[in-house]
Amino acid sequence: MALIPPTHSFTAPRRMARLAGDRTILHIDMDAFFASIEQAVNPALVGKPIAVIGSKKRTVIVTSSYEARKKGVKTGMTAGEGMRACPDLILVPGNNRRYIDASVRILAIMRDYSPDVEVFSIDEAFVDVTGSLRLFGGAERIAREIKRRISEDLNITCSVGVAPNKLVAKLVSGLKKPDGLTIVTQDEVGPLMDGMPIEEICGIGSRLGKVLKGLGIVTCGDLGRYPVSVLKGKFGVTGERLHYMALGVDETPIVPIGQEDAAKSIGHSMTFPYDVDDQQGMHRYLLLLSAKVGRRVRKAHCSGRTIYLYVRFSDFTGLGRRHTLPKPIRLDLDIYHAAADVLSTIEIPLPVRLLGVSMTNLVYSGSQLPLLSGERREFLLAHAVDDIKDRYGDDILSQAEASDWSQEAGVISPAWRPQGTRRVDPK
Amino acid sequence: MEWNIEKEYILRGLARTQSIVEKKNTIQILSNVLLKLTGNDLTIEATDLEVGISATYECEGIAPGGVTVDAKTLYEVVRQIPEGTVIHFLKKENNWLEISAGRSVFNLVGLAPEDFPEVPVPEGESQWNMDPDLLNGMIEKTIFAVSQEDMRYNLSGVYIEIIQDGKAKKIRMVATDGHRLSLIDSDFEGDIPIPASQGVIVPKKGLSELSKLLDESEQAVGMRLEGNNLIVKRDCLTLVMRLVDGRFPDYRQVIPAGNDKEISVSREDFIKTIRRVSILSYERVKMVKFHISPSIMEITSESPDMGTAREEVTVQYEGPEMSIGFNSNYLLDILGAMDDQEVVIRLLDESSPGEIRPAKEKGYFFIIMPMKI
Repeated sequence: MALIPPTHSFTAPRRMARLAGDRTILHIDMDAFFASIEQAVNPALVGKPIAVIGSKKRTVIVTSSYEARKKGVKTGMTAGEGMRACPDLILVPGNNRRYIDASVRILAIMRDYSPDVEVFSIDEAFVDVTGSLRLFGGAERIAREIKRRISEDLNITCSVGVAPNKLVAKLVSGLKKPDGLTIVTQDEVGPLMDGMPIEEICGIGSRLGKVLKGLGIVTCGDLGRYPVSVLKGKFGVTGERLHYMALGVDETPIVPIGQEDAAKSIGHSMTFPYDVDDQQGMHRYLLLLSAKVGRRVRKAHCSGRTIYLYVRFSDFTGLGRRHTLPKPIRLDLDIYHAAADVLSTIEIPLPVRLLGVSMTNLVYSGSQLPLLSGERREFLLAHAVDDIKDRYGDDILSQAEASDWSQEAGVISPAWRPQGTRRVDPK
Repeated sequence: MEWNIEKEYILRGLARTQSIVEKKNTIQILSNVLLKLTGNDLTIEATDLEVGISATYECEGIAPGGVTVDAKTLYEVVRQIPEGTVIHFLKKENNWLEISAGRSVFNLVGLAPEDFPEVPVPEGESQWNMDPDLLNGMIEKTIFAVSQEDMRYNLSGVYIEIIQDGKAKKIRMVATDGHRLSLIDSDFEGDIPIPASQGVIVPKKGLSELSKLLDESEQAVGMRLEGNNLIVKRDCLTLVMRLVDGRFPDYRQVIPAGNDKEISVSREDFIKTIRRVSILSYERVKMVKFHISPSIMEITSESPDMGTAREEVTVQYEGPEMSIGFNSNYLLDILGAMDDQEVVIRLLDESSPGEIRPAKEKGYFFIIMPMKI
């Protein structure tokens, strides 16, 4: 095992250089990604309202085609709600392997135009093409090429925003959807932002939006003109960031795959096929989740000190509780015991629908082997199990207690990454 | 309560208390020192309930009594008073303490001396004596390996036990933090009331205070185990430390026996090379890699943000080539605690504990666990 993943090449100086001058950033956002792919591989679905749902027994709509959206189908609806909104809705169980495969192919296309590709989610990415403009004849040509190749290779469409930074690129890629292309030059950023409603900015959610509206701020122009000192007083450091966001100023660099900052939290959650109301059942899932979290914590060479447990009940209410341990842990069973301790402090008035376990307060612990024999055995065992899973897949080994459950397929998380700590091995 | 005392006298007494008083003062009185006056004897005490010190200093007593005031403030006040000044102390109502020296007058808020936790006084004579140089050497070679984590309570001190080696008796000190271990044996005559094969764990803080006291004088210290305390006495100074109440792990299990790859290297060269190479080791891990081949050891490091480093050291080695990674800080701790010119490293493979010992002396050695490379 290498000390430093090979993707950690020595790129720090290059990143700095990029910050200095004018940049050209593409934000590529796939249109109704999962649904488009299903339509692309199954011509019978083309032009029809479809919704992609999880492959589990009980699930919600992950995404839907534009035809379905027109009828009022929204992401997050249950299948029943979707059917009520659009009676001829076709439900398609998700196929994670297919989406990951498509995502990887799309990223490969982008990487033909620049090495600086930042994966934002499974269906969104940023590409810094500053250094390759002359090579390929300008940003518009690159954008059209990428759109054409994705359309030819995968038979799906995407919308592209071209701007001097990530913030504006992401903002404008959403302006014309589907199959859009919006280009904004540095000079056009100011006028564009002036009339832009604040909620359009990635990072301003409905809650923050409400607070800002309370201050009489409706557009980015309003926000940009608002005294920074007042914003700072109200929101702290975020206040200053808001000011710059409103002006369309964003200096954050593209972070290519493998160069992301260390994860701040690593977690996993799972909706059960049936509501669980017995302790034993919950503990089995907890064991399963702890093993998944442990594996990812170790993959990131981390240990965590704070464990967070989230419980969602059958009526969709839920609560989370965290506990900070005196020393960092990284082994599956340690995580399980810590999570079980938190679970024991939560009153369970209703059957449980979902459990989530995550670890925060991560410290980099490298790969120091323990000296004392008991700990050393545990450490080597965990790493041996990880090695086997690396080779044969995550389901090859599990605690006997949890083994019946480990076969349940889940819907892929939108935060999926092709590499790094976020990687979940797809089924 | 009233007395006069020369600045240097009381300053020395207060200095000894500074690292004992509680920094995170959840109990306010623990950040204070206790001053007690009987006749011409001024006793200064401090404790954090685990380690306590009590020492008596000569002064010109005027009226006996006791008071406790904030240890840091009193020390700072006394420290800033010019050399050679005689300081006048007067306890006033409500435990106020007035300090006057030359034209300066200070009034410190105090607390009632009755509320100050007692530092245990030994009930009997010392049970054994120890030479300060010997004891300090043993502390120096072990204390760095003590665990820093509060959680691993049984590793939070140095384990002391008595080894019966035929007729000879040895005192052994062992420390480990779960990644590395130090062990030192010293010949010893006399009777230490620690039962064979059942040692005591002495807290790190107590030992580091003891080490400071040992530096002060050539005089042997008397020691006594009483209840759950180790009591160290020298003249009218008493240092008390509460033993760690835990079971020290079976360290014998982790001492490697079959390490067949033996490398000899100059300690000075080795330290300097590791210091240079580790500049570029990944900050969070501090790992340096060693590639060992006959006569040459190549030491490398890499950091994703900074770059790489590589250096070769001449060694005596005749086995097969092998690679292994270690935390450079652990290695530097170990090498820094040694005093031989030549060190011997014995290894088995890249994931088994390594052993580092002086080439000649036999009394001590270190075990270090590698990092996965």
